[in-house]
Amino acid sequence: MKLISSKMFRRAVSIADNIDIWVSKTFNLEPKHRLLVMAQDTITKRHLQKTIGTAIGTSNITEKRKNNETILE
Amino acid sequence: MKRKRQTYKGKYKCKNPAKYKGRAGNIIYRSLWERKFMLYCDKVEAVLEWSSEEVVIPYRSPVDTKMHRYYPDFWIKYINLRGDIVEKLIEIKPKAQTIEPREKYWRTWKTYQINDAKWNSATKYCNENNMQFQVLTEDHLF
Repeated sequence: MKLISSKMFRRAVSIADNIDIWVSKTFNLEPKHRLLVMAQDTITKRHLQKTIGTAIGTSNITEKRKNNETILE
Repeated sequence: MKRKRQTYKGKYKCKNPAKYKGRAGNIIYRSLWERKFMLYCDKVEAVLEWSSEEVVIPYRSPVDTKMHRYYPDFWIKYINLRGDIVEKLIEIKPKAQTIEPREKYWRTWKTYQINDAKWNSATKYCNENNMQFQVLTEDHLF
């Protein structure tokens, strides 16, 4: 079910952007940037490994360690 | 009035400064995609060492036929799936800039040609120095 129409979504995004521009102009802060950075900091290692790790081809050391620990237990 | 393009540029605070090769206090990200990659390098154990915009590669621009300097976004040293230690140069770019443009608008064509020249010289540099070169797009990051 479509909860929100695309037009409504675009309107909400533009309102949020306008608020962000106003705050950054008047208070010299970057609320949207800060929020995005904060959201990025919550990204788990597992997610990073799934996306960037698979693209580069790095070994999954933490996952291997976990598996070894469970085998030893 | 000319409209300014919104970019999220800033300084990255390194959590594992020992892993960073270079000045850990002055790591600058030019987009949030680059920041995400920095987060990956900093957090994941498989990445042994990394640096951002520390390697310099000379290249000849096809636009003005002059020599310029290219700074690849990242240099990483990591353990691959086989367990070997590998060095890689990473460039983060939007997918649209990695594909040859259909319409030959001057700006898009110029960007693509310059990127192509940069990446060719980077590949050559990597082959000479026993490294690999990879371009990551949004498809790889999300």
